[in-house]
Amino acid sequence: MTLPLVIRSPAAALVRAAAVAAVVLAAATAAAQAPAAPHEPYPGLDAYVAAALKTWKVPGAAVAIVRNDSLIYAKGYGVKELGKPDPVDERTLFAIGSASKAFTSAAIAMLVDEKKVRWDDPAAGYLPGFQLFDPYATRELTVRDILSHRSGLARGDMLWYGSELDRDEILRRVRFLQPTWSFRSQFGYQNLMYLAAGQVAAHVEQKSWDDVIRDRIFTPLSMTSSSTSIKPLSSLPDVASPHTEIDDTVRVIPWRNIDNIGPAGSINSHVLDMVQWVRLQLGRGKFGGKQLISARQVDEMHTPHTIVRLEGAWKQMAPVAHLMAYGMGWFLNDYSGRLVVHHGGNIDGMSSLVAMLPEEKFGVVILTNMNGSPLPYVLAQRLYDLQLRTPGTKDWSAEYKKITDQQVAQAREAMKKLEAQRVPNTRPSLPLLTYAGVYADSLYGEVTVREQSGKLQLSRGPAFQGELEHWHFDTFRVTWGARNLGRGFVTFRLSPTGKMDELSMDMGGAPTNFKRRPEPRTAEAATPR
Amino acid sequence: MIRHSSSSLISAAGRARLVALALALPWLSPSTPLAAQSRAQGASPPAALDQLDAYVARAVRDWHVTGLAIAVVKDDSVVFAKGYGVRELGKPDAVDVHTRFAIGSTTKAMTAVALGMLVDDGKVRWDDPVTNYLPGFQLADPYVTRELTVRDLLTHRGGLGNADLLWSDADYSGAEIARRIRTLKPAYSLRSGFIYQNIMYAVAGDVVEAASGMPWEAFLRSRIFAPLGMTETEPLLAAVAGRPNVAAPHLEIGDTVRVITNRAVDPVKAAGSVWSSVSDMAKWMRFILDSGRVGGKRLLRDATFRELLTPQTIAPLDMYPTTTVIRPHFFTYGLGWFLHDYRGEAVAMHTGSIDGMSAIIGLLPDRRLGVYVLANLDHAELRHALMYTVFDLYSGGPPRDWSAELLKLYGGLRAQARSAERQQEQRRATGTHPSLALERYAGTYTDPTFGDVVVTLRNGVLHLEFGRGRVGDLEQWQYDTFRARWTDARAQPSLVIFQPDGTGGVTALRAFGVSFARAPQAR
Repeated sequence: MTLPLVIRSPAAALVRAAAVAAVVLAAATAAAQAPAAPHEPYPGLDAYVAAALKTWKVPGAAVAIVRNDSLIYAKGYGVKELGKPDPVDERTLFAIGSASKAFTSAAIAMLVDEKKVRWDDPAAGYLPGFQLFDPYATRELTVRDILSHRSGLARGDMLWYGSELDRDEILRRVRFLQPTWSFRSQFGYQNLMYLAAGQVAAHVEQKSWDDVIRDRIFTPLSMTSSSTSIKPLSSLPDVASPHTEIDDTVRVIPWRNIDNIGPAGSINSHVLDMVQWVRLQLGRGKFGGKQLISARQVDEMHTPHTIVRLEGAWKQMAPVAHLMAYGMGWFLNDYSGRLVVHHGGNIDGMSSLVAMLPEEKFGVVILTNMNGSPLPYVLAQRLYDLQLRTPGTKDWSAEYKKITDQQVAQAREAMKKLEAQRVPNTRPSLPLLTYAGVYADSLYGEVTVREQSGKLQLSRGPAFQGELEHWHFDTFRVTWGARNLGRGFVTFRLSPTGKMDELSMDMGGAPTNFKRRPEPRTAEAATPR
Repeated sequence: MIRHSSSSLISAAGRARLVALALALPWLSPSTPLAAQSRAQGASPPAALDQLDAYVARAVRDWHVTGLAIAVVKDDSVVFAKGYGVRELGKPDAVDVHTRFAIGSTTKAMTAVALGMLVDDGKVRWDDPVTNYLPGFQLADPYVTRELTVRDLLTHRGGLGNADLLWSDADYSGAEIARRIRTLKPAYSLRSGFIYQNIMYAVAGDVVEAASGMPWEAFLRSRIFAPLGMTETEPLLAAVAGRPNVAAPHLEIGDTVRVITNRAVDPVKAAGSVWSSVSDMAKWMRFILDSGRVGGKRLLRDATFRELLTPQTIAPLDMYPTTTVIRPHFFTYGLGWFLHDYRGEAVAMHTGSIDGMSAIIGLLPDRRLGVYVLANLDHAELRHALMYTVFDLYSGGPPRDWSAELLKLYGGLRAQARSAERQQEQRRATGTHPSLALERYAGTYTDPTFGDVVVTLRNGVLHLEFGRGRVGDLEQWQYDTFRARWTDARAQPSLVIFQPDGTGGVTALRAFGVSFARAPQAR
């Protein structure tokens, strides 16, 4: 199962058989001693975490707990990489994914404090040339809107995920993304708008978003191991490897470079660094006696701006909440009469969560090296219960297991249904060679289809390369070479004159029609001399 | 157990359930002042409701409320209902549970239910544009006109400012008001804020009429009041006028509570024109607390019902002074309901306030607990105190004398308002004169939305008329500012500012927060 958070592989959402395997990981017992507190702060915590790792087939995790502006516990569990003995410790680096969003909103908050940016000013005022599909939305969209997921745009994640476009080009193409919902009519989780927010900070500060985050947040908080790109990771010794489950087996997958959507989720860190960040948040912008963000603007980020309906995937983040909303960079909900301020992150092979009970001056950081795992939410709610001494605490692992088992069953059912709907004994309308060509969409760019020894191969950027297998009529099933990307369907359409005209493909939840380029270019024509 | 006064409405079934309740909920931690007393006496928690009677009676006295009725519903039974005080000051007729009051904006949830029924009928969709149902509907911005949905009408987020002057004082029909709002510039960008709306609810009523083919009031009667057995409820004021057991509206004017005339809210009827008794509103609460069922029969599909109590938009935390006291983490609006958290539980509530009449409905849906209060005094804010007192009785809040606490809170706000008034008086520049001869101010001033203000000179005194509601003489206040004293006792004196054009004429008049431009003079 994949929790909705948040940067996740859109392709993985394509229908694929979900796994219910019985592989139980050998739990690595070795763990480094936390510098702050050598003993578990709550009896039985270590055992609970270790058991939960097994239940959720998570190779490794690190947990840190902050209370009253102090680190009270930090510990690693399991291993950095499956099949290798290196244990996770409190200095092991993970991708925090969308938990990065709060860094972007915090950077903007500092600019608001300095009167360089106003929450309710049009975003386009800070981003020359920025344009949405709808002119009204272009004119009215504010900085607050882009930080609170109410632009009316659905994800559009295939614009950046596994694409070679850079930040500027992605933002330029947002104008081609048609709104899914009427402007501000509902919550619609958005990575592209966080990119826009990051670029607002970059334009205002005249330096990259990465430099803004380093100079304004990492450096003053002494988050010396944290970075905004995977590039420096390869030379570092203490780094977790991403994992995902493919065909019922947990496997190592490559780190994904998501620099082109950085402000929405590219930060890598470890729990000790993240503790500093949590202390800044719980200190209402004050860290080590210094006010880095005004309390007022921290409150603004922790205040509801957009209602999040407690349904489906979002409800899984807070199964017992009565109300949920998005602030700026943070989800907000009630838990046992307290406010919870939190944000998770999912990117290829990594699941994270930063969660706080500000009224209790309590916060947790949970980093894991497993794809789309509910484990961070399981542990966080366990920790809230321990902190709040909730009577009748639930076994959150068991609670979430019920939900995920149901989802797995549903996914299998959907897969079966899909198979049943396959029409047997059909053939493609035209010879396979005629399907080859370049198909283009103004938003998502080019998709290339080649014919190779009787098989069609499809490619879209370097990440999405796959072989097409005939499904029925002019629909083919594509299986991506990178197995964690799953599978998808591609349908070709003919023009009224019987020529191959269009390729239709689901782009992370949005059916998209790629129009065939009039003439396939020859190698000579494509090579400038 | 429960006191059976002649005016309390408790069914036999309700009494039987109370016994069960006492057994089923022994863990109710009785810790409010009331509950503490009952514990001291070794009584079961519902017996605290017996103390509620004395508590309400005292609060009614402390707040100088003329008449009030309250009903409490728990688990589909009325567990407490009683009237206090009199229907009209100076007359002996007591308020009882059948006394009818204006329920004001607690009507809004009924309009939302009506639309929900039409959603179930396949005649309305929450997210369809309003123009699908009302082709002539238009706001100032074409994008907003195109995009505004039925859901937006019910959630105070359409961008329209407060234009209640159109119906409260100007004299326009509902249709004319709906036409005139297109002239109003948006007060905020679409769905970026919250300005409480009566006019948008009136438009929602128009949608009910267009989609159902019957008047809103007929729809409420046949689809809600009849199946719920709300025989004492009337959708419009005209139907209760002159009928027996109807409360008269009261307003404190210069420290004295006086009877005033009822305000007809017919032009925005779907926003707040219903009249009812707590006996009938208890039926309404049972219906809502039973998820849209009556006697086990569904009047709304489950999904449709749940939509009503689902947060739709963020509401301002200072909507009610009481929210600054209870400090909810979330304060939101559903469809006809304010929804917030209180001591870890979900609350659905709404007030109703029409000149001289106050109402409140408060539900803890997870406990199937509801409280409804009607009073015949303008802004009788003890309604909030009674609601939270009942909530605490059942949810075990810490000892808290809500009536005393809120009396202090609202007393403070009142003192602040008075001090502001005094300051205004003190800032008055003395010894000034109007810059023009009085007859120069006479004339017609006009605003494209709100219409005409007519100023005449009568026997040396300027006289102003606006709509049906505002008629009065003007006395010079300072410079070209005059103070109007209205013939309608309900209206506070207010300032009217003339803007001379520097050449002996007047360009505009500012009053009621609107700038009216001098109409060209007829030759």
